[in-house]
Amino acid sequence: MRDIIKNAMVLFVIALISSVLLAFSYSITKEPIAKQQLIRQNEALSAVLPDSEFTQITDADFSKQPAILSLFEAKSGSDIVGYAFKVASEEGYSGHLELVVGISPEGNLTGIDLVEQSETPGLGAKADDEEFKGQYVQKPASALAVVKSAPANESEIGAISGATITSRAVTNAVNEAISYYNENLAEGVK
Amino acid sequence: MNTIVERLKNGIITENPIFVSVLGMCPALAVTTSVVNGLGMGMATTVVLIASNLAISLLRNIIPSKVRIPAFIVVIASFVTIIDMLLQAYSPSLYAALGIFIPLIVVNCIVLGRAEAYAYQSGVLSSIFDGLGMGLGFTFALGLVGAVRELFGVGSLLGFQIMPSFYEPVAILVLAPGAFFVMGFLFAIYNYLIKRAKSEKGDQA
Repeated sequence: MRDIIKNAMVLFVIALISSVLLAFSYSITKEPIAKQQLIRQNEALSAVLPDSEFTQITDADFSKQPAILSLFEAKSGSDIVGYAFKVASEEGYSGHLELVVGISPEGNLTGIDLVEQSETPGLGAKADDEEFKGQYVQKPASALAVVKSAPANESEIGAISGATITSRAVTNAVNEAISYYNENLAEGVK
Repeated sequence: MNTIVERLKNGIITENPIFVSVLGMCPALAVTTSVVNGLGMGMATTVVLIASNLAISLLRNIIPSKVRIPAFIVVIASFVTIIDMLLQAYSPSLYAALGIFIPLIVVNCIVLGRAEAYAYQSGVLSSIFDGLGMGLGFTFALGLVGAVRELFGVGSLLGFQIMPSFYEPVAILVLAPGAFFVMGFLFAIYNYLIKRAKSEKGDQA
């Protein structure tokens, strides 16, 4: 009986000290991590719509496109050069994905950039490579489909070999941004 | 000094965690699609190995044998999580390069294996170098597997195109079955060379 108590106490103390260290690390790194994420987000916004100033549109209604986290209007001087959507997906192979999608006022995608992903290196993580991301550039803003072979037309995206799930998760998130754009921001809708 | 050299040689060659002990196969198969990925995973694991061996060795007289496995797991998982948070907060470029590998390390058998087989019974200094040796052996193995898979499966090394343009890459090598093929061959070659080296030494004795 004494043995059981001693063993339990040692485990308890080890778990307690580990928890304290973890909580401490979490609290001191929370702000720097948030700062880094903001920097990363701004990098992604500039990657899809370079040389612009971004203002967040705060009164947008995303109830029909729940994947959208935030919407930014990109301006160069006084001209609107596009819209940037921050979208998230839980359908990645390893779960959470966050990406930025840029759409021009003419109704073409200006590009995508991944902000957060924990996909498998060499497979799903290739979604952040130019070879995959570059496919979205200049695509017209209508629903895109993922195909496992080479894309045959403008509404198809070629999946990453061996990473169809990741490819689909990214494309589905992009499609929600496209859907919102067509319903609310495209020329002739406002 | 002798122990240090012995631990390093043991980890890199004699008891190489991949080619001899066959530990840590999950990340070894999944992550070695290129040299960069293999080396990255290896280096991140090495840091965790050293830290965890050090901690377990320091605590070896406090942790009762009956509850040692849960104790190891708590210590290792906590270390990995703290390293993950620190990297994410203070080293964005390193985190971007290695960050995805770090959660994978928690399930790496090598870390728990070395804690149980060595650090729990050994002094701090030798445990540190055991961790370093095993980590280097792991990194070497992963780099090698990654190199073979990248060279023949994609045609490049470290991202640089090596194979001539008429080379048709054997794409299956960068997928799961290819990992097994490459591993199998490398296992055979490695153990053959070790065996030969041993018998040559035996002849000279």
